Amino acid sequence: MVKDKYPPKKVRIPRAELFSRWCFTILLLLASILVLVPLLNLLALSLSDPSRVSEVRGLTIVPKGFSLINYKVLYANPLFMRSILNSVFITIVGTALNLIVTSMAAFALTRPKLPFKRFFMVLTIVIMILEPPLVAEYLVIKKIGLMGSLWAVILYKTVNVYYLIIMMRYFEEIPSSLIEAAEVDGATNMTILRNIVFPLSKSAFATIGLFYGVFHWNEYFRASIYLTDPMKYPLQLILRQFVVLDDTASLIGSGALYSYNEAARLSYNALQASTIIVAILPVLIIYPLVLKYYTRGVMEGGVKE
Amino acid sequence: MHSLSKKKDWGLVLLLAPALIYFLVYHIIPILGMSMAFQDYRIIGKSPFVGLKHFRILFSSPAFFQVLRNTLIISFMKIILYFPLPIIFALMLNEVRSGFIRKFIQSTTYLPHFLSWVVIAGIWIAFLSPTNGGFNQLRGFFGLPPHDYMTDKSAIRWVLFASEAWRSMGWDSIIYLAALIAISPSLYESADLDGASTLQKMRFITLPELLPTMVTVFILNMGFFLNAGFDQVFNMMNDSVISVIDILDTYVYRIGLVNMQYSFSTAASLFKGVIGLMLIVSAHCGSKKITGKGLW
Amino acid sequence: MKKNKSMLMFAVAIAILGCAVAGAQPKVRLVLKDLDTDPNTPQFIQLIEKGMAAAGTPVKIEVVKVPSGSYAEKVSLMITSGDIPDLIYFQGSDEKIAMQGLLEDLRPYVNKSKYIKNVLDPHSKTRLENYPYLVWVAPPRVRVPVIRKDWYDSLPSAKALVAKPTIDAYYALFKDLVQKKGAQYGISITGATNGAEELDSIFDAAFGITSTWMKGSDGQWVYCRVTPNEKEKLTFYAKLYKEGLLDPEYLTKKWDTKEQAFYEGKAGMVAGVAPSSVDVYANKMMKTQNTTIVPLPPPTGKSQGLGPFVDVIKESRGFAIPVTSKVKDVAFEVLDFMWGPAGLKIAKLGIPGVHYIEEPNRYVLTDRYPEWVNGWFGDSFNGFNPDKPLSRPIMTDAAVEAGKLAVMYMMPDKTFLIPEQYITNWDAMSNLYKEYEADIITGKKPISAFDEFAQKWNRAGGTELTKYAQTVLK
Repeated sequence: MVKDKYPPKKVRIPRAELFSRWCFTILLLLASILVLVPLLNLLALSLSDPSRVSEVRGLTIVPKGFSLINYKVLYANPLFMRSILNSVFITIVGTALNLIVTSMAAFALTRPKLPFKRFFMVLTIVIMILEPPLVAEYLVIKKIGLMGSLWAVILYKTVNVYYLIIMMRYFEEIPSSLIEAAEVDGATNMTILRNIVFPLSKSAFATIGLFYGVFHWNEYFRASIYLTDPMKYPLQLILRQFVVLDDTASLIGSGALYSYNEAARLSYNALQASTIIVAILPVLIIYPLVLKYYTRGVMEGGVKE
Repeated sequence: MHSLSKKKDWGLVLLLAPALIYFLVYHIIPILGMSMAFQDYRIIGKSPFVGLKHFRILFSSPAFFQVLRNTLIISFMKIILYFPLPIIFALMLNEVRSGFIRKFIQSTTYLPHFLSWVVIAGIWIAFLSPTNGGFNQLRGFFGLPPHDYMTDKSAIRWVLFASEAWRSMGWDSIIYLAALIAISPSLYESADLDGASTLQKMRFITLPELLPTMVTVFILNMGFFLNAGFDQVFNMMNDSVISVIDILDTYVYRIGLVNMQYSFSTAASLFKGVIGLMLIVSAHCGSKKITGKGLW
Repeated sequence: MKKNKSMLMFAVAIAILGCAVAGAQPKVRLVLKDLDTDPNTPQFIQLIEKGMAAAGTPVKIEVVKVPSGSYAEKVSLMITSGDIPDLIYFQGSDEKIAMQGLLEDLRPYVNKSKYIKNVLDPHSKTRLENYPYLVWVAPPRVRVPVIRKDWYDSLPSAKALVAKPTIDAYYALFKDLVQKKGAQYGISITGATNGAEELDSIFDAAFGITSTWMKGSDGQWVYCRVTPNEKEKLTFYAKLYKEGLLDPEYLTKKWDTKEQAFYEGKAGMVAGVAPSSVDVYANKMMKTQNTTIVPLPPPTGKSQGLGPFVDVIKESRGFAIPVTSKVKDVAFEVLDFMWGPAGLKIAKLGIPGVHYIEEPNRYVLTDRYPEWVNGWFGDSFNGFNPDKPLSRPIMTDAAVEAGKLAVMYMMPDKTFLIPEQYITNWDAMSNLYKEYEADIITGKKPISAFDEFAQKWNRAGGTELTKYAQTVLK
């Protein structure tokens, strides 16, 4: 192969380019710090001993004293572990469904042979902009009997038109010659999607999958209005219980806060911080796995012409 | 070749079908509910038709133009001014060679996106606090007196802009990064051999390759121009700055709390939707003329 | 054959019996904010059901589950979709539903009641008369200023204030709190959600502002916030702000940050709703600083009183019964029971063995008593006369003291519901006031800007609304 005869010369990088590369790196690292500090601050707040919480300032990133009390309170909630399972279920099933339906639709919409293509395109744009009133959606869900079911939450935004269109953009990068060749060979649309499109746009699937996954993981509102059984509540719903948005009198009402003798000394802010950390943690773990696709994609993205 | 006939492939509609079913159930049937905008919605009994009454209420407030103006200005900042930032971010990140640093930056800068505005507002209000906030401490190092940005009418919109950028820049760059990965490396290799500088490569290879993505994102965002971010504004609002950051959605929310909530907010969404559609269409046509690429 | 027939008859008999039993136990679906997530609720409901059965009115109570944080939306949606509970607690958003004729007029129920009609305070009765769809048994929601007891004991200006409360005495106390006690500022308020309302609750009356609409010397009604009294008051607030006696960041303080400032000693004084919030503050201050708090009387001036003005137009929260309910009487029975001696015992003391222990001569409140919410059906303690004395008072002394001050100094309001055609105007007018108030207090605008505000206010609809006011206010 050409590559073996002429091994890649170590191209000497000109000084200017090296300099600009370092500039970018430093700027980006600065951005990272700007982001990390407040989050580490929240982490420190959540891990600080309740009696020393007042010492935690805006730029503190080391906990004052150490106490897991905030997390213990969360864990003590009987629904806590269960809600994590629910959230995982909703996210995995939901995202899988999202990717399948969205990719099928995106593929169809990029094919010139789709009948009424213009019509469908316009339809999807209109749907994206005109959100139906909440009450109407609620009534429809009720009518079809999904009220109280996790599926009412999972199926919400099965197709996010914004993501659909982005996916279409990625699909359009695939040379039509490949697809036409497969059509000539008699492949069905699903086969083409599975064997040609999917392998060549893995980074698109990873990206859109990430978007959908995060969407499901953070979903709170639809869950709050459609679910009636606390055993089905996702994580975000349970966490909100600890972040009471009302006045003091309602805070008394959150019985869970006072289930420990120490709890009366708990700092509301520290507890809120711990709920945030718990919500972010799983994403922190998953993301590096998804990042793998961003390097692999380099190999698969470029198509041999 | 004859196989590439103009014949329509109905099998493709089958692929589209599940999405269509979803749209039917969650969107098209409920859209009929938009008729609420033209009624005085009653829970029991027939809702009387009131024509454009709610639209009149919407437009008749002495503050309506103020509210609309704020919405447009804030949206302009968040959609148009903000637009290049994630792109620049992605371009810079693409230049970072060390995989470790790259992963670190990626793993951190997307995190704020997960925080709700209740939390972010709290973080930023503390950060901008004139008594012991980090930003004013910085001003102190440069000999500047502390300044209360949260209650400053001329600064608050920039606070909205900056906090939005802080929250979303990393996350929004993901789309562009994914597109950057797909660019064939051979393009860059030949440019290197020709001795192209970093900036030249960006200008002549990267940006044109990113153009379809950029255009798509921009046009789609135009559809949401009248949204301007309810959660953010709601959590960062205080009495001093109402007149400059009160947006359509916060206004509708307040009025709806008291009276005819469902009809009124539906009328407002209808209004926003129609304007959004007009904006998308104009952006699409405009973009086609300027760059040759539109939404389809 | 015969065997089958008798089996059938047996089955029918059981069925009829079952229906009779079920019929004897009507089911009331109750929706109350945060009740479903409180761990004590299942036992709480059991106690109520037992008590009601013993009283001859057996009932089955089902607590409808509503996730925290979206109570108002979920209840609204439930009702809109036709899934309507029998006994509903509203904390806002009830007007829209009442205006559609969906809520029962509760006056006949109250009149027929055994207990509720005796525990309603005068302001509650008037509210019921004016807006008969909500009933709520609670003291008027009035704020009382409080400071830490250890600081109170060591500051002569504090004692002087109690002896002779004046605006100047308050000013002197603020100064002392900052200079002698190291507070960062004299008083902090929840500006982010309430603007200067908490300051108003202390100072409105002293400047002669005693109700939302006041009758001027010319016999005409005028909105209190456009009067010269308001201008004087704002001048005073601006002075407090300028001298650092009012929290410089009050505009961005939410309730939790304000409270934190108080517990940490940054704020010398706060104004809390009496007695419930004051009770919370007292408990928390004891736990964090090992001292209790002391409520203070309002300053005298043109008048003397504590705000906010006690509105008698309607309850801002309370229980309603929808017209569609099939068990209206039973639902109201539940309320009535809760305000009788048996119900009060459960509501205020909690679960026996957990929150209190019954001894031969008294009830002992346990360490776990603070976990018990004693205000589910209303914050009031009216009618609560336990048959045995308690080992210690339920509320802290500070809260009881504050409650007394609240009752002594409350100011009944004179106002009216804004009619539909003025709603958007009122929104604009309110925002105008909020903004000018904020800017004048913080010094961004000079006090002379007040006149500009009054003009703008009138132009935005104030003139029409004032004309309307003359026709509806007596």
